[in-house]
This record gives sequence, C-alpha cells and structure tokens, in this order.
Amino acid sequence: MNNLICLNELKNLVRERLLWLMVAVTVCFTALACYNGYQWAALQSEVISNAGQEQQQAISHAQQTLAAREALTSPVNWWDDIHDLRGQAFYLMVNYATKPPLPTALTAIGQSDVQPYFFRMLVSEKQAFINQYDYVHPLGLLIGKFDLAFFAIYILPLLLISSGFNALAQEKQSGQLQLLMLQGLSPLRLLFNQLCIRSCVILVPFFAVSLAALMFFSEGITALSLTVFIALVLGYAAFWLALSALVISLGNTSAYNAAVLTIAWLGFVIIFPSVLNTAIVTANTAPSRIEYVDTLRDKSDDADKASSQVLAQFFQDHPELAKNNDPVKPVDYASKKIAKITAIETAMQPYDDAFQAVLMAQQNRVEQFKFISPATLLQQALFDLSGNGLKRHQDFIEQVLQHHQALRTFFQRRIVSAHQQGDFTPCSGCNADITLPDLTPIPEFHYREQAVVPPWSSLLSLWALAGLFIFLAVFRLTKMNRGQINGALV
Amino acid sequence: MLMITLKKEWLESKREGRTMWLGAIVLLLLAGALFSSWHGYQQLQSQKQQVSQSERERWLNQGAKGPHAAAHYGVYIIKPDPPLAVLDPGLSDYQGSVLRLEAHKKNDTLFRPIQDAIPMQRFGNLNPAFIIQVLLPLLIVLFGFHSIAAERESGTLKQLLANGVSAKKLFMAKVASLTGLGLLFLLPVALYLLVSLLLTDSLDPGRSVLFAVSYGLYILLWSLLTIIVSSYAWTTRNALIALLVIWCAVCLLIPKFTIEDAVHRYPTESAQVFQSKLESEVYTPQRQQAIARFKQETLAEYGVDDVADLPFAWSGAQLQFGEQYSDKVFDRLFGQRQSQLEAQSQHYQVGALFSPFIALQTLSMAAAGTDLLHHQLFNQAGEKHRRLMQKTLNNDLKDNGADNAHGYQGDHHLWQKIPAFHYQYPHITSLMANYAWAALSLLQWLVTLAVATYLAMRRIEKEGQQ
Amino acid sequence: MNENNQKKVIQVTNLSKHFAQYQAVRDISFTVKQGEILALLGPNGAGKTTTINCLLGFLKPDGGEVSIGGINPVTDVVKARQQLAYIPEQVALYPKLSGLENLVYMSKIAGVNKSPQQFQQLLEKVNLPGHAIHKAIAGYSKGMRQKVGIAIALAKNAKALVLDEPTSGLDPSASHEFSQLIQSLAQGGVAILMATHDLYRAQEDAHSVAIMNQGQLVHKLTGNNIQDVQLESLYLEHVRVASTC
Repeated sequence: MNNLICLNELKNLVRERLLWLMVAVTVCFTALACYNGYQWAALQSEVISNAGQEQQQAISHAQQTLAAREALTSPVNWWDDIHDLRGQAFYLMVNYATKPPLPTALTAIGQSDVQPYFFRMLVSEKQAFINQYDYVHPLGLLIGKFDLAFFAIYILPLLLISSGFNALAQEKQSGQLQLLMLQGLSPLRLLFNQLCIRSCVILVPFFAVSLAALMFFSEGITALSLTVFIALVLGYAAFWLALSALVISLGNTSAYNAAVLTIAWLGFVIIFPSVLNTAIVTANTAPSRIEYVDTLRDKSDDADKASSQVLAQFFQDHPELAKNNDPVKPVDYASKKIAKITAIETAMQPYDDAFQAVLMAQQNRVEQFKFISPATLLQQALFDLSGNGLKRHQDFIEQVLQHHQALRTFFQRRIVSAHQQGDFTPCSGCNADITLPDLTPIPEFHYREQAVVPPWSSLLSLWALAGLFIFLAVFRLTKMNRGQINGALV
Repeated sequence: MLMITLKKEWLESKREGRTMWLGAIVLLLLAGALFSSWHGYQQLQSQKQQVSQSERERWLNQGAKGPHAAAHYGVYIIKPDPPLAVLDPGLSDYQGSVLRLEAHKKNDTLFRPIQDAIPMQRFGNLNPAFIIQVLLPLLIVLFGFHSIAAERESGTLKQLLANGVSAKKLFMAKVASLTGLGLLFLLPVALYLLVSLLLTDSLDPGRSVLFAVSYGLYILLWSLLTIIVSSYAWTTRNALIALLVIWCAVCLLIPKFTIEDAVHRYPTESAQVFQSKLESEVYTPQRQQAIARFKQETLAEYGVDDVADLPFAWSGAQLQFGEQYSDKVFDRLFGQRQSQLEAQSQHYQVGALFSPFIALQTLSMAAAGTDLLHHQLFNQAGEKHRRLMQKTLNNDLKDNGADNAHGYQGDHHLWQKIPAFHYQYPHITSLMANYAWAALSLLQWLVTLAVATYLAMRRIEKEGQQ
Repeated sequence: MNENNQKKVIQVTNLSKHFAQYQAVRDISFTVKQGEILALLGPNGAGKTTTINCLLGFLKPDGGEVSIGGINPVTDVVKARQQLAYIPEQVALYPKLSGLENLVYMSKIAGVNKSPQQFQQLLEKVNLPGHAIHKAIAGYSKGMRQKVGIAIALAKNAKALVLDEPTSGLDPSASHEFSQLIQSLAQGGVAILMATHDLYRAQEDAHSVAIMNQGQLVHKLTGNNIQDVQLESLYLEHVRVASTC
C-alpha cells in the first residue's frame, strides 16, 4: 500500500514538473554550497602552506647568507640583521602559527572567515598580534558565505515546507481525500507517504551531492563525521517535516499552511536566534574594547616609567638569568624590551581574562538556551563538526599563546646570555657578533588537534526536538484519523 | 474608495489573527531593537569620547623624549559612530574602530566586535535596519498576498468589477493600504530621525532625507510587488509561494551570490601575502640606495662631505625621507587593495538591479555612514594625520637635533604642535556618485513595477469585461 | 423481483444529527434494498448531505443507527466503506493522472487487484470514450469523471452506491447515459441511494422516492406510485407545507 501511494505521489510530482525543478534546485544549491566550502578550505590550506614555505625559506636563507654575514665588514644595523637574536626576535622572524582546516571544514565556514587562522609571530605583546585579521570586504562577512550550513539551516526547511505544505490539504480541498478515505486509506498514511516522498526528492539529492563532495574533496574524513553530519541534517529535516505534518493536521487550506509554516520558519530560523543572541549579549555585556585600549596604553606607560622596577622584577622572576648579570654593565635594550613586554602582558592579563570570561559566559548561555530553536542547535553542531566553531578556535588561541611564550623564553635566555658575553658589542663601533647562525632551533608551531568530539548534545537535542514534534503530529493525525467520523474532514 | 477599501482591508486583516500578531511582534521587536541600539550607541560614544580625550592627554603629557621615540609611541585614534548608526549599524561589527598611528607603519583598524562574538552572532543582530530590510517585506507579503488573488478565488473580484468598481482604483487602494501599513513600521524610525536631526548638530539633514526616502520607496516597492503578484496569481496559494520565492531570492540569495561573485571577480590578497609584501617592498636594497642617493644629493646641495656638517640634524631628514619612501609603497599596496574592495562594492551594487534589498542596504548604510566607503574615508583621514604627525616630528628633529644629536628631546610644545584628531563625516551629497547604481536601481525598480502595475490593472479590467 | 427476497443493504433507522443548535436531521428512517434505486429529494439544507455523510462514516449520528450491508460505520468504518462507493457532485480525481491511472490507483488503495486489461474493460463498460482512457483527468467533462467514479465502484464490487447530485450540470444526453448506467448497476444488484434535485430523473429512474425537508422525512413513495403521481406538485406541496408550519 505504501509503495502504491509513494508511486502515485511520484507520478503526480513528475507530471507537475515539480520533481525535476526541486531536484535541480537542490542539486545546484548543494553543489554551490559544497564548492564554496571547499574553496574556502582550499584557500586556507594554501595560505597555511605558503606560510610554511616562507618560514622554511627564511631558515635556508639564513643558512645560505651565513658565510656572507661572517665576512661582512661594513656596518649593519642589528634590526636589519637576520643573524642577530634581537633582529629576529623583534622584527625579522618569519614564524607562523596556523590552524589547518579539518577534513569536515566544507560543511560550515562558521567563524573561520572572521577569526584569524594564522598569526605571524614576533616577540611582542600578545596584544600586538592577537587581534590581527584577514582584511576582506566586511560586507561579505556580514552577509556570510553560501555554505552547506547556510543551505541546511535556512534553505532546506524552506524547500521542505514548499514541497510539503499542500500535502493532504490539497487532496482535502479538491475532494480526493474523501474518495481515498472511502477506499479505505487513512489520512495519516497518506500524509506520511506524501511527506516521505516529497522530502526524499530534496534530501536524496542533497545527501548525494554533499556526501560525494565530502568523500572526494575532503581528504581523511571519517565515517563517524559523515554519520554525524547525516544524522544532524536528518534530525533537522525531521523537525521541519513533523512541524509541517502538525500544521497540516490542523486541517486548514494549503495557503493557510504555507503562511503558518513560513511564520514558523521566520520564528525558528531568524527571529528566535537573533533575539536569543541579543538577549545573551545584553545580559552578559562584554567589557569595552575602547576602554581596553585606554588601559593598554596606561599599562604600557606604567611599564615604561617603571622600567627599572620592571627589570628588577623580571630578574627576580628569572633568577637563572640574573646569576651572571653584571650589575655594573648596563642592561641592554632587548632585555629591557622583553621585560617590558612581559610586564604589560601581566598587567593586561585580568582584562584579557575578563573578555574571555564574558565570552565563555555567553557561550554557556547559548548551550543552555540553544534548544529554543532547531536552527541554533544545528548551527552550533555544524560549526563544531566543521572545526570552525568557538571551541577549536579557543584551543588554537591557547596554543598560539603557549607558542608565543615559548618564543619569548627562547629569545630571552639567549639575549641575556649573549649580552652577558658581550656578543652585541664586541668592540666599540663594530658589528655585533653573529648570535643566531642557525634559525632551526627557534620553536616552530604545530597545531595539536584536540580529539574531535562529535556534537552529541546538539545531535541528541535536535532529535529530541524533532521527536517531540513527530509525536505531536502523529498524535494529532491519529486523532484526525479517528476524528474523521466527527466531521473533521468533510 | 480608498477609505472604504482601507476599512475593508483593516477588518479583514483583523480577522487574520496570525498576521496581526506577527505584525505586533515585529513592531515590538523594532521598538526593542531601536531602544537597545540607541542605548548601546550612547554608551559607546561617551566611552569613545572619554578615551579619545585621555589618549590626547597621554600624548600631551608623555614627557620629554626624542621626537622619533614619540613617533613610535604614537597615538590611537577612534572612529566616532554617526548618529544614524543607531538605525543601521551596517558593517560596524565587522570593521574595527580603533586605529594606531605610528612611525613607519600604516595599520588597519583594530578590535572588530565580531572577533569577540559567539558563533550565534552569525544569525544576525536584531537592529532596526535588519528588521525593516528583511522582516518587514515578509510581513508585507503575508499581509497582502491574498488581497486580489482571494477576491478572484472567491469570485468577489468579478462581482466588484461587474458592479462598476474601477480596476485602477481597486488596485491603487490595495497598494495604498498595504504601503500605509508598511509605513506604520517606519514611524519609530522616522521619530528617531526627527529627534536626532533636532538634537544633534553634526547630523547632515541630507543623510536623514536619503534614509527616509530610501526606506519609504522600499516599502512602496514591496507593496506594489505583493499586489501585482497577487493580481496575477490564480490562487492565494500560488501568490504566496511566488512571493516567498521572490522574498527569499531578493533578501537572502541574491545578496549572497552577488557579494561572493564580487569577491571572486576582484580578489584581494590574504593578510599573509599582503604583510609579506609590505615588508619585502618597503625594506628593499632600492630603499637603501635611495637613502644613499638622497644623502649624496643633500651633501652636495649643502657642499659638505659629512652629514655632521649639515646645518640640520641628518637623522631627522633621513627619517622623513624614509617615511615618504614607505608612504609611496603604502599608497601603492593599500591603494591596490582598496581599489579591489571598491570594485567589489560597485559590483555588489550592480546586484541591486536584481534585488531592491541590495539597493536599500547600500543606500541605508551610506546614509548611516556605516559602510566600507565611510570606513575607508576615516582610514584616509587617519593616515593623513599620521603623515602630518611624522612630518612634524621628523622636521622638529631635523631642525633642533643638530646640536644635540644624541640627546635632543621634544617636550609639551612639540606635542601640542600636532593637533588633536577630530573626524567629521562628509556631507552625503559629496559621496552620492559612489551610490549611483544603488539609487538608480531603486528608481529602476519603481519604474519596472509601475509598468507591471499598469499591465496588472489592464489585466484586471479585461477580466471584468469577460 | 420479489421484494421480500431482496436484502436490505442501506439501513437508516431513527437517524438524528445536530450541529451546535442546528438540528440537521431528525429521526429519519429508510432502507434501500439490493437492486433498488432510492431518490432522496429535498431543498437545500433539508439534511440530505448530512444523511449521506453519516452513511459514509464522515459524521457520527447523535441518535439512531445507520448500516451498510449490516455494518455500522460508527463501529467499523473500514468494513462499512468496503461495502459502498460514493460519487459526489464533482468527482475529485488526480487531474494529472489519466482515467485509467486514477481507477487503478483508487482500486488498489481499496485492495482490489485486477489486471490492466480488466481495469480497461471496466472503463469501457461504463462507456468512457476509448480516446479518453489514457488522457489526463484535467481534460474530462463532468460526465466522464462520473463514469470513472462508477468504474471505481464497479471495481470495488460495491454493494451500495451513494450519489450526491449526480445529474446536476449534465447535458440531457449525458444525463440519459448516466441514468442507463445506474439502471444497469441496479439490475446487477447494487443498492443505490441518490440525493438529487432532479425530479424528472427521480421519477424516471428511482424505484422509490423519499422527500426530506428541514431534517425530516416528510413523504415516501414506492414502486408504481412514482410514475402515477405528479411528483413535482407533491414535492412542492410538502416543501411548502413544511416551510409554512
């Protein structure tokens, strides 16, 4: 019986030429979304690989020019000298910290277009680099890219609604339902089969194209990631189908169903998430970046003014560097600079922590309230799955800061000891000694991927939400099944 | 006729409970968004003023130091938000508002709010512009899709026409009532425009007019479109589906595709390449040679053999020469990037031919002063100030550092020579050429829909004659 | 045919139905036997459609009972519906499917399995023009749609056929053709209940006539009486009397 209904439904769709239109729209949009996601991930990979090459070239360049530098007699400024620790530390170092895209990256561009995925590292205050960004047209960021996540969150429900809103209602309006029921067909069965077939017309091409793209263009993608992706989108689709069934079961005209479902879409996909976002941001207001600048300037001034204290504190914190320190010999510029950097970062730490704390508080609120809409659930889940969400970015920043610390320690120790050995001023007026003949010992950044935990909670919540609506719809329809005798359908 | 139709439409929509509710919710959202946007604006502006003030004081009270050390100390300037940013924050979240001016470097603005935001932010902020640009058209569609289609479906259309009601009047009355309803939502915005015009001295009235006119036209366009589609559709269902597809394309898809196409056509370099270029193209052997040449020319000009014999401090002259040298590179590289971005903006505007949303969005951000062009104008003003600052400091070093090459220090008087940075947004009329496509597209839409209206009216008339 | 030997297929006993304050049907009773055609006459709002809907199992009676082939649709709607076929004023079929496809689909839904040739023969039996069999329903006239509806009833082997305003809007020759069709169905043993305004057709085709007004069954005629009486004056008399009461 189900096969019969499905076949008939399919026949109707084909004859109305809707089937091919829907398949074409879905295939084109999905392919475009995959292409955009793939392009973006490829661009990131390219930038990261360029950065790696540039870094390697810098190392080999230093090796190749070492002999020439050794033979050099004309004066050279230390800030122009790649073989000088200080020049490397503050100005010349080519050292990148990069976050490679995950194999699942093409599912959602997420925050990766606004958050930096690479940093050029120097020995400087973290404030000087941590807010770097790729300068692109801000309108592109505001509007966002057309990726799989956008397609799934915004367009897929619209396609599902537009294909399903007149299921059953159409039959009812034109009278076929009465005839079908007299032939022994129940409205629940008819609607179930209609929605199944119509959603398949959209979901099958969607999954065919997106999974093919993921398998062919995303090297190293795991079966688990694919399964989670399918389960997420299916859960989301199930929610919208159940909602459609629920609205249809109220027994109104198809125009009414379309209007109500559009309003529901507007609510769940646009209004709820943005109201929730506004509420969360208002309830947990981030400190002002404008005031942060003010504080940063004040703290830098303080560190400048108290430079001797800063240095004393520095050597107190690093007794291993202090032991050979000749109190008579003036402390060099580079050590002072590093001490100042450390002092500024320490002074700014509470302010940075405040931003971090608010961000986390906001995200915790999101975790609490994301259940109000399947769209927020799917967005969080897809962003996390693609590795372009908040958590992975935070991991990256944390590792970047550790690397930043490692670089500083590396240069600090060597600069202090080079200074103590008199390498920077071997004689009055002559060039500094070569203090960094080889760049290979400079710490390199390698992003340590945290074990990717599939977004189980979002996945479960999504299905729970879908389940709730499926239950409501089935409940209403069975009532309608029984209610046919009460005149619900005549 | 108009009053009668208005009354009938009102009665009908009152019975359409769901749409009324939705209308009330959207109005409430708009009021809430306006209030929260205004509140945030007030707070941010006072912070910006305060911090700008204290930054100025820090500059003036930095104590005695070498002019070049002061140049490195630099200043942070802050972009003020124009009053209409309350209505349309535009790209504010995606471009920083703090710019560091220092020696040897041209920086990009810092602290884009989006970098401090949770991923949910990508669903969009509920600001007045978003509500009117995106949600209001949908509301107009939901209010108006059945207007003529339902009359046709139920047969009342034929009856009305048979009874001698003019198709033109009927059509116009429907458009008028729908537009009126749409304009109702503009009331809070209009109120804000009026109040800000009266209370803010700096507000350019041209901006308020552009803002109000664009939005008014936009609402009229959507009302016309809705009634036209409704008059062509055989059933209300078809009317609704067609209008929803149009809405989805106009407000969601075309903008996305257009900006993506623009970025694809006029690509910019990644920050990694751009930064490497900045370094490799400024600090080149040619630069060393140019400085050497400049040195020789200067020595020759003054007829001396050593820079120590020059009547001024060579270091100041060399620094200024170096600044000017790198400024040229900056002009070229930043100029290339900017022209690509401008080309992207222009290409996006062309999309307005297919989407009135793009036209309105462009004009709205232009009026509010929150688009990329206004941001670039601020950046240019900042860069101009930076160059003035460097020139003043370097010349001071050149003039006064000769006798005291190692120890010359500037003081309060020198710091005061550099004026405080105050940014004033230009009059919109001077920038309108940049928005020609958007403005013309909006008019193009009006003309196209006027023609379509004429055709739709004729069609209804014919229907009455059958 | 011996009346006593004929089985009562459609039975309506003391049926009442009201909607809120409005009493649509009050305490009516009638039966339609195997091979009998009963014409249910009455003005608009007399309660004919409500009665039919109770029979079809779309409405639950407030009082009394209905049964189709001995099965009460209230207790077992599926079984009751297996016994009957219904042809509304406007037979609603899938417009994009052909007559044959509609027949096959509707029949298979009801669990009827026949070969394609058998289905086609059914359509030929109800005189659907050969060229129309494979054409989309959207191009069918009302009469043609009714023929498909009757074919569906034939395929189902229905014991009872319920018709709602079958001849309204049909031209005289189509109306005549239709009447021949249902006559032959009745001869085949199907009990036919036909709600109509068409007094002429009722007089021509029906074996018995029941006149309804304001929810009540006000008059019943059977057998040869129908041919003898002036049905129109009788009808008007009952309807007028009832409405002036």
